Amino acid sequence: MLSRLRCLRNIYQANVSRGLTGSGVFLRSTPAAFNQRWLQSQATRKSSIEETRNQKNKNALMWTLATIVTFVGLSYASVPLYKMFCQVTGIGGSVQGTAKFSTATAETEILEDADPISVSFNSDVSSSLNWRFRPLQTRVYIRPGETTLAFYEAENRTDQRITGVATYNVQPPRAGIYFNKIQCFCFEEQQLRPNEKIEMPVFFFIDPEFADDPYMKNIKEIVLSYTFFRTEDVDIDVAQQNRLLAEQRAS
Amino acid sequence: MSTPAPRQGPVRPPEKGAFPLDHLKECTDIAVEYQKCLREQKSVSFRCRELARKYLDCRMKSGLMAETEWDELGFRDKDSDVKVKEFSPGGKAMYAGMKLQHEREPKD
Repeated sequence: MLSRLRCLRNIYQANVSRGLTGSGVFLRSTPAAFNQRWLQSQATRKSSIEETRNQKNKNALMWTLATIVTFVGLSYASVPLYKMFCQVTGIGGSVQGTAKFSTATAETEILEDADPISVSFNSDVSSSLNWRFRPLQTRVYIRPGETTLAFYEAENRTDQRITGVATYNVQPPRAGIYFNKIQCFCFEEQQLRPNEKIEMPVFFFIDPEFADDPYMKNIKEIVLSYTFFRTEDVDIDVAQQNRLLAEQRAS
Repeated sequence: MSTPAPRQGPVRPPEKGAFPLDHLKECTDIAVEYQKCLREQKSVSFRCRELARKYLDCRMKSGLMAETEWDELGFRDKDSDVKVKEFSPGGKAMYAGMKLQHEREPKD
């Protein structure tokens, strides 16, 4: 209390000696000085605000740039990463190396308790191929895992040797991965002599894993469809015969 | 084309390659017997397994097929013990609304 009074007295005396009168007598300093100091403090406050704002902006910019760079980098890196992922897990039908049967023929067992599947046979011939091509049985009823023999018959109705090649198709498409062909006549050129009728066997089995797949639960019928196409190759015998005929005519 | 076409699974070549053609008709008789058996057995191929085995044996002996162990071709000795439960290949016809009736039938 006393010290405060003393303090006020000192200020009063100092201001009076400076020539202040009136209510300004108890001010610690002059209004101008006070104003100046106030302005200064405001300036520092403003600059510090600006500084923090600048700093914040810089921070934000850094974060944004970093995010952009990360995501761009991720999208580039995703290609090899996805490839590695697919190879390891095999999701989406990607295969490692050559497509193999899930169950090897040597290990397949007939599933006695599984539901029988009816495998129907269909045949098609390309219009440029004058062969009669038909399956010798409409369908067979088999169990998963049972190795089965089936026959197709092809007849060459022309007087020339003709070479054809067959492709196959399995319906429904999803069941195709369980259709394991041990041996057949597809993908290789088959030559038929003139007016020759020949039987072509197909030896196959439905993979036992068919019974475990929930998607295959309602599939009771599979259709195997073969189509024969003509291969465009010059028949050596015909060319030779033509040459001989031409020579004979010339002589 | 409202739905995408279903993707065909990987088209695989046959495991043991292609059968050479039997131009000399060495095994055709057995093939005919096999067809007859299938017709008699109502297309249940398990009952004609012996004839299938005979046909493949003929092919191997005539050089139309690589010699392979029977185990590797899926013909096992215990096949004769396999009790394949009888089923009617014809099956029940499917009528709309008959599901309830099916469920009431005893399962055998």
